[in-house]
Amino acid sequence: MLSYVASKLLESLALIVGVLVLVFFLVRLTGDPVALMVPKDAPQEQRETFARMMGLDQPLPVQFAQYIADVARGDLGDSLRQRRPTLDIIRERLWPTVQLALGALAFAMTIAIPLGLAAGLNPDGWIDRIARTVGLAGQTIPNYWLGMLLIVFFAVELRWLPAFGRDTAASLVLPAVSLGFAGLGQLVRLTRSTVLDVRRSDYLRTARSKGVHATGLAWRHVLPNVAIPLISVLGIQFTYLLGGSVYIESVFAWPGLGTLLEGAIRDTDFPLVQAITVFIAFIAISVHLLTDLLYGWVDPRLRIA
Amino acid sequence: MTHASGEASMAGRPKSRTENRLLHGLMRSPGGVVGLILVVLVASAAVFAPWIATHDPGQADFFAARTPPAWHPEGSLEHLLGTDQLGQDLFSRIVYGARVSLLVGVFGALSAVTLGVTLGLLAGWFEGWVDRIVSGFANLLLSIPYLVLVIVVATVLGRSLVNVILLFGITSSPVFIRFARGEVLRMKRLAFVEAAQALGATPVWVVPRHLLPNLAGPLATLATFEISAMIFYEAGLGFLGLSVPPEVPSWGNMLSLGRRFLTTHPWMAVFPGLAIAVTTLGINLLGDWLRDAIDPRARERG
Repeated sequence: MLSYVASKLLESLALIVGVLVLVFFLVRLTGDPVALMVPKDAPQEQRETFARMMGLDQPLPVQFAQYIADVARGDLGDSLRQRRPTLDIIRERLWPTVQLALGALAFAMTIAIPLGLAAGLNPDGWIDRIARTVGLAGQTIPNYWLGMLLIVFFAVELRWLPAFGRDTAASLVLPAVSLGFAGLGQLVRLTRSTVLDVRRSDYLRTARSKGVHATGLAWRHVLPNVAIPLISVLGIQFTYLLGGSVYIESVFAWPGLGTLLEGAIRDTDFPLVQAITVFIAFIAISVHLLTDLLYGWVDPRLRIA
Repeated sequence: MTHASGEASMAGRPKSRTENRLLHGLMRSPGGVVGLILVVLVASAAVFAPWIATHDPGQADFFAARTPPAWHPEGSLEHLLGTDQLGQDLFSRIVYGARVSLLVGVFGALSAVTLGVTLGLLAGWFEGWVDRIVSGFANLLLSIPYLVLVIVVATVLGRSLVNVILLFGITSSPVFIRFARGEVLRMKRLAFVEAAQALGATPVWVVPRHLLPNLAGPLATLATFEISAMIFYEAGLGFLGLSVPPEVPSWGNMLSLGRRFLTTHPWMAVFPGLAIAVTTLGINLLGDWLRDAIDPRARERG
C-alpha cells in the first residue's frame, strides 16, 4: 500500500509541474505576451514599461525560474486589473463554485443511482426505458441551453425560482440542476451497465444456485459491487463539474470561479487567467489522487499494478 | 449475423462481413435510423444552406427586429422562427450555422484522430522514453478540466475557424492517444503480428497493414462521439464569445446574443440551442448504433 501511495503522489506532483509548464508557455506561445494583455493602440513606451513591470523583458528561462519560485512560495502572481494577489481573489470565489458543484453532484446522485439500479435489475422494463431516455438526454442536451430553458420556464413564466445571482438558498436550485443534468445521464448509464455486468458474473450465479432469493441477491451481492466503479466516476464527475460550471455560472451570473475566469478573459487579465487555470487543475489533480487512493483501498488488486 | 456468408454468395458482389453486419444493425435499430435521418438533415442544411435559407443570414432589417416566430400572434410567415435584435432571420442563421458546427466537429475530430493515433501508435510501438513523453502529454491535457483547457487555449489562439478546429484537434487527442497506445500494446503480442515480424516485416509495413485495420471500427465509434462533443463545446465557446468571429452565423454566437434577451425574447436563444441538441442527439444515436454494430457485446452495456 505504501509504495502504491508513493507512486500516486509522485504522479500527481509530476502532473502539477506539467500544468505549470504548460500554462507558462501557453501564454507565451503567440510570441508576444504583451500584445495579449495591453490594448492594441497602446504606445510603444507603455508596452515597454509594462513588459519591464511584469518581468517579460527577461530571458525566458529567467522568467520561468522566477515563476516556479513564486508558485513554490504560494504566490500565483498579482491580478492586472485588481492589483492584488490572484490567490486572494480566487479564494473569495472558490466556495460558490464548490457549492454549485456539490449541489449538482447531489442532484445527479439522488436521482441517478436509484434509477440506474432499478433499471439494471429489470432490464427492458418501463423503468429501464425511462433510464435510457434520461441517459441519452443528459448526453445530448447542452447544459448552458438547459439553464436558459429553466430560466425562461421557472423564473420568467412561473416565477417560482430566482433566475440570476446567489442571494437565497433557492438561487442554487436552477444552476445545480442544469449543471448536474449531464452527470445525471452519465451516472444512470454507468449504474445500469454495472448492475448488468454484476448480474452476469460468476459469483452471482453461484449465489443464485445456492438458492439466495432475488431481494437478497440485489441487496447483498449486487449493490456492494456496484459501489466500486461509482467511486472513480464520482471523482471524474467532480472535475467535469468544475469545468462545466464555467458555462452555468455565466448563464446564471453565479459569482464563482467560472464567472471570474470569464471576466478575466474579457479584461485580458492574463495573470488571473493563468492563476485560475493552475488552481482548478490543482484541485482536479488532488481529487483524482484522492479517488485513486480510495480505489486502491477498496480494491486491493490495484495496489500491485 | 451468422448467415452473413450465405448472403454474400447471393449478392451480386461479395460483401464484407462488416458491411453486412452494419446494414443488419441499422435495420434492427430504430435509434440508428432516427440518428441517420437527423444527421442527413443537418448535413444537408450545411451543404445546401443558400438554397434552404429564406434570407441572407447577415441581412439586417431594423423594421423587423425581434419578430417572434411565425406561430406567435405577432409573428409573420416572412420569418419562420422570428428575428434577432438586428432583424436578421433566425431560421436562415440556424441553417448557415450548421456549417460552422459540422466543419468544427468533422475536421476537429479528424485532426484529433490523426494526431492522437499517430502519437499513440508511436508510444505503443516503441514504448520506453517515447511512450513516457507521449503518455505524459496525454495525462497532462487530461488533468486540466476539459472546458477550462479549451477556454484558455481559445483565448490564446484567437477567434478564427481554423484556430477553433486546431484547438479541438489538440485538446481532444488524448482520447485517441490512449486508445491507439493500448491497442498496439495488446496486438503487438498477438501471433499474427509476431509472425509478420518474424518474416522480416518492418513497423512501416506492420502498422498500416496489420494494426490500423483492426483499429478502424472502434476508432470510427470514438470519433463519432467526439464530433458531437466538439459541436457541443464549440457552441459553448461561441456562447462565451470565444469561438468564430461574432459576425459569422454560428449556433454559439446566436446563443451568445440570445442570452441577453432571454427574459424578453426567449426564442432567440431557444432555437439555436434546439439545433445543437437535435444535432448531438442524431450523432449520438448514430454512434450508439455504430458501436453496437461493431462490437455486439457492447449493446447491453448501453
